[in-house]
Amino acid sequence: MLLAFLTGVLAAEPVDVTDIALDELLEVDTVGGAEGSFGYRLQQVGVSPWLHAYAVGELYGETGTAPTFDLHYFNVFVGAEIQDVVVPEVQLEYEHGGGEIQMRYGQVDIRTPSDALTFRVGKFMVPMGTYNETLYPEFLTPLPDRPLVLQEIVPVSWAEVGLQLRGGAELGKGWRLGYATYIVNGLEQRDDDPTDGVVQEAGNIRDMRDNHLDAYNGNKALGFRLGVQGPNGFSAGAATYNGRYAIEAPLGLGMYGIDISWHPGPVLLQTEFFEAVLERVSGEDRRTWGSYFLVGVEITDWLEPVAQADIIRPGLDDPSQDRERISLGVILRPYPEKARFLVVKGSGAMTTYGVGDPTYRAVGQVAVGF
Amino acid sequence: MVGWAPLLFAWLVPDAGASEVRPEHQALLLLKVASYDRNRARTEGEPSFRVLVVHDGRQPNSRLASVDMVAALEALVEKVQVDGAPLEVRSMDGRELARRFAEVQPDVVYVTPGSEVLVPGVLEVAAEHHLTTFTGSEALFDLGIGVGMLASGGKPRLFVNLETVRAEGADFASDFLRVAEVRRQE
Repeated sequence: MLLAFLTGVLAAEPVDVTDIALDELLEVDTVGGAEGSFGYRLQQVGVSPWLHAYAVGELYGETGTAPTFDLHYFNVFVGAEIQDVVVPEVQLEYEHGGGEIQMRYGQVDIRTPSDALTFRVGKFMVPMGTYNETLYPEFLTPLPDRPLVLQEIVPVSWAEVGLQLRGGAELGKGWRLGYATYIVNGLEQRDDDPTDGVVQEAGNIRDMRDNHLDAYNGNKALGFRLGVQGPNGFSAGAATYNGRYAIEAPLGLGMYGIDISWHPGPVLLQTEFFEAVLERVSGEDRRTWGSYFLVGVEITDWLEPVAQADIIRPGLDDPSQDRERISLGVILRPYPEKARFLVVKGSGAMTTYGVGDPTYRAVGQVAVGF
Repeated sequence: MVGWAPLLFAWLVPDAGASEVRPEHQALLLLKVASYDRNRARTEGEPSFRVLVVHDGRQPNSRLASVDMVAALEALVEKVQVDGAPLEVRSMDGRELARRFAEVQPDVVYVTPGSEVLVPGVLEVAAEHHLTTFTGSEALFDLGIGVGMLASGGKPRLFVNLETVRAEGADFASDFLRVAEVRRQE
């Protein structure tokens, strides 16, 4: 009976303590750290944790490089829901077989009684379009490789440290309006000697990530995305980001973009366009833009061919970096019912340049979210 | 509703009750021991048996322990009676015990670990109103709390500060005192 008390499975009728033997109570083993631990206590007060992950393995080769296997990601999600009001989550990234380890994001969502407002603090994925925030895991992406614009302008995966307000409202008939606005440390171009008076400017946006602490430039970047979702998987949004990126001069980086996605039945249509403007001391801004258009057709629940066209204009003096790319791929879902997030993908891509010969790339990829 | 916010700070607390008797187990022991009090038995017929869990609101580990103990006791509310009386559970910061005593009128008081500074005040109120005091903390028992429910040799053991429980008006049956380790004032 005592065991029943301690495990909470006693019968419905109340028992008087006078009917419980004291000797029996004193014979139960005491439990040490295992159940007197914080984890046990947190569980008692309504903290529901989770542990998930996704893994991505690849074999790829391209013109001029040796083909290689790559355990591209094995990323771990750890999070919890606390009484439906607080949701912390961290994604720990193990890239290239653990050769690169970092926190992709570590955020805490603090909900309010209204769907119109949730606070997000910490390091979070920047809501610039939808790909960077919600579509980047390879078990969700249609093709193994990201579009060029999402590597070089929106530097997926792009996370920033700061504060975000987000929420939405139902518009009726299946439509919903959503927004996200944020203030963050922001992208910052590295400067090996930040006091030498030499301004490092208009560099590679991707290399400006991971400015986790504002050591030199106290200015914060601001961003906003307004989006709408509708029936048939329709989604559209417009986003902007503005912040100072140079350490030794007040040079701004502005980024603007639109995203549209539509999933009528078995067909997936997806496009995004982004432009970034990096100010220079000379006044001649570096203006870079890029876009992609993707179409997929789910022939069966396990087979989906995909085609994508993408373009990027880096805005550099060197036209050899201007590129267009055509990619053809296929998604296989071996167990569409039992393991929807197990995908096997293959793709071949041809990239042409403003100057020079085309290059070719082939990728085989297995991705699973679990 | 018990707030969860103290948990965010409690990670810094080193011992976290690592070798304590589990709260669920303490809760049953407390009720069982209380049933041995012949003086308390004379109040039989009261509508309920009230357990008050007091903590030090300034100490995260004390607040956390209160969450645990209240949860453990509340889990017994539908399952256990004490001499025929249903169980009621209350909690408060021990600093408010004297002022809010009339509002709660408990039968016994459980003092959570980490509430050392409150012990003199709690004992004073307990003696005045004839409440038996309990704890799962050896430190609090050493400071004079009436009944300690402590782990020893991998088993729960009962300890009694005889002067304290007498001052609190308890008259424990010999069946209980035989299995408890009784400490007398030197």
